[in-house]
Amino acid sequence: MKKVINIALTVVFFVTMFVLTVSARTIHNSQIPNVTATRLTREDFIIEFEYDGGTFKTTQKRLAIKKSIYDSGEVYAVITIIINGEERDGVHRVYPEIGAENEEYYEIISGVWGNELVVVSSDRELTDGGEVCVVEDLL
Amino acid sequence: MKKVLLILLAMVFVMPLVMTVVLSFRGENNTITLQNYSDLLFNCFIFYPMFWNSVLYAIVITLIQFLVIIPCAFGFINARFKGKNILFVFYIILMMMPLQVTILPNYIGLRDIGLINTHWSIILPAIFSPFGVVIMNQYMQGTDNSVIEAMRLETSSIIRIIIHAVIPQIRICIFATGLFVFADCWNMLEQPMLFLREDSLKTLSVFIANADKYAGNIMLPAAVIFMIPVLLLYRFFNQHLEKGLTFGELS
Repeated sequence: MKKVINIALTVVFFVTMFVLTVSARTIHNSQIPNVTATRLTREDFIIEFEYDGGTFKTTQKRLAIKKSIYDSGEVYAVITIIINGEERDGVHRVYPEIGAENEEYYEIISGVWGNELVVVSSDRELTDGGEVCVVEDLL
Repeated sequence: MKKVLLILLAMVFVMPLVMTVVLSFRGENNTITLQNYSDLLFNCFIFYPMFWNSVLYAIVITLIQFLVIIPCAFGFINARFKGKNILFVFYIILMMMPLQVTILPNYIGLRDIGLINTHWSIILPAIFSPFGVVIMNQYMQGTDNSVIEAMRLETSSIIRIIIHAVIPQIRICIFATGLFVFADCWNMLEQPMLFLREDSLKTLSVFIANADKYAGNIMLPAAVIFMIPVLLLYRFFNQHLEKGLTFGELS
């Protein structure tokens, strides 16, 4: 009887550890916000320059953010955070300053770097510095 | 009085284990919680490869060690060659030598044959541990030689003699030595820290030793899980432990 209990305990322990090994990350990812992110692009904007006695308009490519992202109220950039010795994706709230606009985009003057990933959509509310799972990178 | 003293002494040894288990369930504001276990199991993924590495190293080293120590101990008992006693004394000296003395030559050897940062850098040096040979040798001195002599009449194969005449007689010692070797491998710390660079190859003992790299609340649950395999193994073989290590006596 004691032998059977010992075998049962051992099997239960190692099977549990195996199941957790296989499923722990999936379970963890289901409990954090899953986000879609995109890298900022450069879009055409009509830029107005002033010079002596008049204005001059020209089309220039500038760093841009989609209006839908900016108008949502909160802009989050994807950053790398270290949790338990492992590099993971997190989000950091950014405050872009916008300039010119076209039909789809706002020009970014400051607040976000050109190579940053910004969150397009999330299935949960995001918190500054929190961990996320980037399920889709649109670029 | 003697009993009270023994209980007090036992408590000195048991207290750290009990405190580890109890504190692993302690949450903020001294509440009882499973949050620490949840944080370890669902938010610290390096824990799993390290756990399985510990299992792999302990099982592989224990099994392969028996392939070395049983013939070696058998040779010390039955073979006649010059310098046998000196060689055995050398084994005992090697057994008593601190690990730190041999770890550097081991490192240099492993580096020169290109095994650093591989599983073999842990397994290979541990296979040839003198501890098992010395224990097994002492136990084999009490084995029934007539069984071996009878087997010799049937076969000249040393391997068959060991399998059919020696191993059945030293079964209890194999269990006891196996338990010690397994526990020794399970707890090893210096070798994986020195011989391995990648975290994914290291063991659970290294995980616990590097507590500053991880969240503080996951360390005690990790220590509790770290204890379980050795306790399970002890439950399997505890009845053999005392008999198996009684030198020169057969059950």
